[in-house]
Amino acid sequence: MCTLNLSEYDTFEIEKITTTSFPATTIEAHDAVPFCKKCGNQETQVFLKNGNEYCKRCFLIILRHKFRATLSKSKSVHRNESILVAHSGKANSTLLLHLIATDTNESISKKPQFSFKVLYIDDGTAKGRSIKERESIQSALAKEAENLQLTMYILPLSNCVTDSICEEMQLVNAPLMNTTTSENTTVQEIFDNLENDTAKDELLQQLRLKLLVSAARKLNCNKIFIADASVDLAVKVLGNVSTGRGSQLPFNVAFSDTRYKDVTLLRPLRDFTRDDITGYLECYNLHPIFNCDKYNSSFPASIRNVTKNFVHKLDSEFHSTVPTIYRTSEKLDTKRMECENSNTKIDDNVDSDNNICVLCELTSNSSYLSKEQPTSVAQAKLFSKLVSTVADTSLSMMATNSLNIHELSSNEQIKSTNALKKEEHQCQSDIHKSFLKQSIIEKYLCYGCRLIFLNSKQVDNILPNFISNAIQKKSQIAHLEKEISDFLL
Amino acid sequence: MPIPCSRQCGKKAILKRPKTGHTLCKECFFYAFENEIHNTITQGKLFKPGDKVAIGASGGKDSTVLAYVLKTLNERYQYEIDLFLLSIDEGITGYRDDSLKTVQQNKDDYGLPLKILSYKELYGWTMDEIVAEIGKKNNCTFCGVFRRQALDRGAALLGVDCIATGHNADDIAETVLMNILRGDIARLQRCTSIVTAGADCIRRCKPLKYAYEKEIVMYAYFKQLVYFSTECVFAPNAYRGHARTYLKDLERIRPSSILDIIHSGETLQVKEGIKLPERRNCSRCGFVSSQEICKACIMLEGLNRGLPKLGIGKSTKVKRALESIAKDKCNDKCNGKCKDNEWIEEKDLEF
Ligand SMILES: [Zn+2]
Ligand SMILES: [Zn+2]
Ligand SMILES: [Zn+2]
Ligand SMILES: [Zn+2]
Ligand SMILES: [Zn+2]
Repeated sequence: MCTLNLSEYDTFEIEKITTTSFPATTIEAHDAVPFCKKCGNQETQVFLKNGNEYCKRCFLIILRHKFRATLSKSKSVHRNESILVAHSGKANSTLLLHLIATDTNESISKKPQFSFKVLYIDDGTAKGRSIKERESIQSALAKEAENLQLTMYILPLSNCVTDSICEEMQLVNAPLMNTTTSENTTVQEIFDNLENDTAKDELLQQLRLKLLVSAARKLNCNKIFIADASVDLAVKVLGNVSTGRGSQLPFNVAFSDTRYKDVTLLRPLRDFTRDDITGYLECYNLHPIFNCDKYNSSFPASIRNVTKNFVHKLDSEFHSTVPTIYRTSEKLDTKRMECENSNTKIDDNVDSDNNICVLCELTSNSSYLSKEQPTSVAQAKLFSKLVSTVADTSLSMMATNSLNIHELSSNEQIKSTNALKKEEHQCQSDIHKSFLKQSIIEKYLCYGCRLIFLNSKQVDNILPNFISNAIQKKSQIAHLEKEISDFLL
Repeated sequence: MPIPCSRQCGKKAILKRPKTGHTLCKECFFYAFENEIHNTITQGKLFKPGDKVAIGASGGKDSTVLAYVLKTLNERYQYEIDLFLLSIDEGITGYRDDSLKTVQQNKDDYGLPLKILSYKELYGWTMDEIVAEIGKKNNCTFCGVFRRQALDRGAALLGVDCIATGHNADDIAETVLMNILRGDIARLQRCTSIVTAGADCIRRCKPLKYAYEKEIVMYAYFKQLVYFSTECVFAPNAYRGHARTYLKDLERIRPSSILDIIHSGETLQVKEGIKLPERRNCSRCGFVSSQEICKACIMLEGLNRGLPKLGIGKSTKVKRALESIAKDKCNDKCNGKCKDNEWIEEKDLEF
């Protein structure tokens, strides 16, 4: 009997992967006397999964080189620039902080190259941490900053619900910022109303990014270092793909993310493996404030967490998977398609601005259909909803024309937008709370961000202020455009 | 308290759609499921009136449901296509009996013509004969390579315009993930296409592209369609197994994940300036190949020359053999009609 399964054929295709994989253990006893691969020294202390063995000194030199090479190759950082480093308290950013702190100290004879500021975003409210816990985290951070002689700021997540983001930047060694309870409650309410762990986790990631960028602006930094190591990037690649953000990969996992005009996000640890990080931390006897097992389970049933477990498992079984995943992402781009019914006469700049998601600030391109791609998930989802909710059988005939489906949904949007406008005149202040219909959310958010608010318990009162403000502004501009459209060439 | 059908038909719901979470009665579920496929077919312009369409039929649930729905929709909406079932018999004693029996049943139940093509007809060898030649150890290499081409060869032989396969949304999402894990950007770009192949060749299309596996099973259950339900006896390799488990976990956490992954695939493209492996046509048989001569032709040549290990061994041997084959003139009866077909498609049929 034939024992072939079609998937067995894969073994040919992934042969490369499996044969180059190595045993998963990092440090193990070796029979032969090991020699440092670099200097030939016998005192080998670091054993990497890829089979290389080094003495401590050489290992650390190699990592430093890797870090500098990544930065210099890209030519994206210049002398005397101010850089904001995002610190999460986890292993990767603990390493990054130590790396830059000791780097500037060692080259003290030379002119300091960059000026670093560090930011920790306190998202304890969203994760349900007690005040006490948050205080002890902050004091650990203050100690770390002092040891490394770095300027570190702390910014509570609740700042994203106040209209004045980052009015005053708080140093980490100052007492815990007395955020008003109402702000904290608002944050908690926003998160409680979301459907599931994935939505909560995704919103948190987006809000953290927002705060990070606003803080960078406030602190006059036009570069931000994010401590994503290769395994983090692999998790992001799969996480993005699984949450409908595939087209955002060129930004979300790139070495240099240029979605904001004035601030660039950089990922200088992208070539660091998990081994590199554990090895470095062991060599310097560093202890990250959050060790993975204790704190990472904030949103255990989130896609990101499931993806993390999946990637870590693969990484320990198939050594080359992680680099393969993130290198694959480097070769991918957002699909550019001519929108078939773009009948606006507005110039490109305004037009593209309108397609920017108010939450993640990336282009939202969910419903493009083309000759090469006559069907789309966005369209199929819309149709599924129609046939599962509307009793009118004539719909199925109507649906044979794609335009009708889109018209149907955009009519709905226009209705709501108009309603929003009416409301604006009546009661300006109440607007974010009372009248943000699902369809409005759909209009101003990208495919991935829309999923966050889909099926949330309450449609109104779930959006942070800045989102509703941005939506208002956009709908006003759209309104103006309409009024002057006859006179635009 | 009975839950009302979300289409407000007045009946009470008997199921919750795995895809959307809506609660529907049986009739409304049929209505929704069938109309979604109809919508995919019309939106994607999968068929033209007069097309001769082969349904790749394995007797499994996907192709059984596909056959039933296509037949139903063809009658209801007058696609005016000429539908028939196409099955491949590898010629392995005892192996295909049950699934072919199911396909036979489908033929009788739905009144669709059935054409079974054997490896003997397609390649001149049955798997049993190949096994006798090369021993049990390597037969799976042959099986896999031959199987990939079998539908295309069969369709070419029968002058078919279009092959409809039973790939569902779960299969496509899994393939997107696998291609990322393997770093296969070329296939990543292709695998979400609803129709593959160019103008002058046999099209392959996936009418179930947006249908959830769970809903396919539900549909078969409520319609009481007979299918060959034995789960795949072969465990997937470790790698694919992990990916499959991951996808199931995602679906459990957020049911829309399957579609969200396909959306990701649909909105991605290979960066400009990145070279993709050249896709060309086998100089012997004309089917798509990554090399001058496709693997199936190399293996066939080996069998015919009494060198059955050809094509299994390492690359240097193959290269030398290739050179010698390349010198021979193509004397194949193969019609090289297809220029841009998938040579390797994940899960050609659900065997
Ligand atoms: Zn050394
Ligand atoms: Zn977005
Ligand atoms: Zn109903
Ligand atoms: Zn086999
Ligand atoms: Zn060939």
